[in-house]
Amino acid sequence: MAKPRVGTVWLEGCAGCHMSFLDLDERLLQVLGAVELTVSPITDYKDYDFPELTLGIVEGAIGTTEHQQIARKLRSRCKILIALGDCAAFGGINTMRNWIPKQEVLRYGYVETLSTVDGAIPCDKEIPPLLDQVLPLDHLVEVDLYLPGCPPSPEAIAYAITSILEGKTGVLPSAMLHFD
Amino acid sequence: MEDRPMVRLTIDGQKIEAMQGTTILEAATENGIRIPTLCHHPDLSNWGGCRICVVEVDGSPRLVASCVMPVRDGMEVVTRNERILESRRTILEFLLAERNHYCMFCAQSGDCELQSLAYELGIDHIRVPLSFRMHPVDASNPHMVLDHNRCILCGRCVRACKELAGKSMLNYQNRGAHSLICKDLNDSTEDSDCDSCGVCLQLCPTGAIYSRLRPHQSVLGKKGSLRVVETKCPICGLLCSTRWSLKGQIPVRIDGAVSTERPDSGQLCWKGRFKPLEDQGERLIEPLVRQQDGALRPTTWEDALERVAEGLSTAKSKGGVMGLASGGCSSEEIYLLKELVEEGLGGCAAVTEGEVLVPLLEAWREMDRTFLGLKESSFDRLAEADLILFAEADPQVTHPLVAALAKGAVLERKAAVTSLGSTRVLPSYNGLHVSVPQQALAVATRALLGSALGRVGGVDPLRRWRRILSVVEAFQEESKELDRATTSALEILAKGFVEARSPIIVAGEGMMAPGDPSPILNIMFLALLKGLVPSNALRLLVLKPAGNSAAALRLGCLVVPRDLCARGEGGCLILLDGQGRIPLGYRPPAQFTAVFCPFLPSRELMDSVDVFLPRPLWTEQRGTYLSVDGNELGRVVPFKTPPRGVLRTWEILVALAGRLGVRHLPEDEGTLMARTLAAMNLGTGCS
Repeated sequence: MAKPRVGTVWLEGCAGCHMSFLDLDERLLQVLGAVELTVSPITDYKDYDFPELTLGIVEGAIGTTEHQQIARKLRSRCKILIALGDCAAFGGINTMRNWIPKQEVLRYGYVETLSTVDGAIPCDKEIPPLLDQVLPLDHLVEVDLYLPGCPPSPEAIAYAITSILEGKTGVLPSAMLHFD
Repeated sequence: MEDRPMVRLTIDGQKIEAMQGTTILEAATENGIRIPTLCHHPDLSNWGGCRICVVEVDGSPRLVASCVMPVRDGMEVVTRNERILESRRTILEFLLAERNHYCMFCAQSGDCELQSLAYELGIDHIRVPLSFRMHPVDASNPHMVLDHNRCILCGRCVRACKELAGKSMLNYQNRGAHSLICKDLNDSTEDSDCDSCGVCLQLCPTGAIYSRLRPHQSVLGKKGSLRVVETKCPICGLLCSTRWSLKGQIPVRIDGAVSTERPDSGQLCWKGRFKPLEDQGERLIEPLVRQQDGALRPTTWEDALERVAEGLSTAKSKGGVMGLASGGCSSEEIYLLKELVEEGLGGCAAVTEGEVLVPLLEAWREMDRTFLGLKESSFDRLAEADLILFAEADPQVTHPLVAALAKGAVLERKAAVTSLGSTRVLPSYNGLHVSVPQQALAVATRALLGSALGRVGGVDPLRRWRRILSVVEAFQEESKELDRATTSALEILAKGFVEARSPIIVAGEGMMAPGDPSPILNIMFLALLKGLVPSNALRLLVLKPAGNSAAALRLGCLVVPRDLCARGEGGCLILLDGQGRIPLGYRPPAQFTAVFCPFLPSRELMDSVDVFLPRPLWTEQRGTYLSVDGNELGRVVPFKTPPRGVLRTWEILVALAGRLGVRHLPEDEGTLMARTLAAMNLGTGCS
């Protein structure tokens, strides 16, 4: 039987959750022995043409139209979707800009910062436009399992992946639930 | 309360008995059944605002808030089932979605009940739309910040401000999702009447009201990992009970001991709650001695003590020795210094606040000539007074808790606050202020006393008033110095005082003008007119300048330091207190000066001193402090270790005495404390 396929994406987040995944250390070998890691920042696979997946993992919140597309596509290709980390589960620190109008944020970031000379708000077609608000993953697509934490502990990640492969989804045990 | 009937009910299958009138929550808590709460606090009135504590009663489809639902006979209560948990989770999700709870610090400090509840209920995502509405942040206070974005409107701060602090300056404004906590008539903290007591901060379950030091505090560790110590706060002399949380030797937060019997309900003031947490500068950890070339250099204790002994013994034969202690020192320190300098070296000892205390003592002695054995009333009396007359006091600055109690008296009991002197005390609470410049206080208090005497009338069986009359007889002539408006205002003040049922006078240090005990004496007589309160106390509280001034008064360390300095050509031994203040406002013109000091001295002080000796803070050594009214003794048990190289003050003073050939000082701490206590001669009249 083929190994279950896993794809992970890194949206509006800091990569900390993926780092925490790597922090599984030698247990990483067991996890990677049990699954086939396909599209992932770890495999440096930049084309989001997902194969059919058992498990999709999203780090980061939804902040741009590109994030929306990736998240929707991943959802359509995977059986089970995990929101990994505070940003995917709650929106996280990215939501700081939600309290300020988008244009103001952009103007401040690209024009008004003290270190900027002759700044301009980027408008290249290559750059995905910001959404009006950064939102958690489940405000866009359905999520099956939430792993909050900034980042979630390696143990929580291992627990989630292992239990899903054993055919269980559910709720993180309270000992593994933390927001920091 | 005790004879209320008991009712029988079942909570989660457990049969329990509870007194009628208690709430389900109270009954459950007493029986070890935990119901999560948020807006509820055991020291505040029940509110029923957040509905986190909902339970099922008799299988009714509607859940009830257990914190406000009284128990009933035969009641069947369920505190946990899927329906209840789901309801609690939903409420919590709405609270989290309502405002900005993407916090920085609570995750590190664990000091957030909202967060703890989210863990308990397993909140791993929020199912309702998030509201990203910006709310204001009020950072105008030097100690606290009010961030409305973190507020869940539980109202604990509003109730604490009213019920514990008695100030009622917090309230709600607007409606629904726009509701905000407001201060006075929507002022910023700075412009409001808030006196930064911080009781709101202590009870805030989230990070909405927080200390400005929080970024530093939260990285020190989770709440559970901190060491908690109960101690008395000796800073202003009201000896409030405080609870310190420390990480190792670093104080992280200071709370008031709420649930206390004291009339202040365990509120603190900004001095007690925030000041000791601030960075007070670098500690002095080894003695500094002035060398031949004029520079101060660190040296060993041996060396430093040798130098001090040499300096003082030369001084003893030349110009005399004086000892000067700051009024914040412990009673033991003041006692030892006095013993060493006066008994041992034939010099003179004083406290730095002597200028204020000497006229006070003179007034007491004068008083004692007719009315022996009187003392000041306990500050608790403020909580019962129907009129508080402030005489040249500024309690907001010197003793904030006294100001808070006065505010509470006005708001809760419709008491009156009046004042006399150069500052209008508590402007928004003050019914009558008579502005009198300090130099006219003697005349004004005499006029006030004269006017009050005229109103008291009646027969004095002991004919004691005759003596008072002799003090005021010069009133007719001297009142010329007062203008007509002041004279008539004083008459209204006197009328109010005489007609009050249970008035109390709070005198500030300004009443004790150097060399003139008459203003405070007049005030003592005025207080006497309304009779004594239990245990022979005058209706008078004198706010003394330092935390342990009352002990200095008792120990008789009372020469005016300035007089001392004029005399002192010889040597001077100065004992600064362990509270971090450097109160020495003038330079002792001594040939030789040695200073005990907890922190690296200021440059100004450095220039004029020959030896600096490190000393522990008040938190680092045993000490007894006498409350400002002289009625309560507070013992501080050390809960911090002094830095290496810093020795206890009494050890050093005793070692120094040994070198100077002074042999009568107590050799161990127990004897020292007993002798100090005996020297203070408590339980008798003030002088």
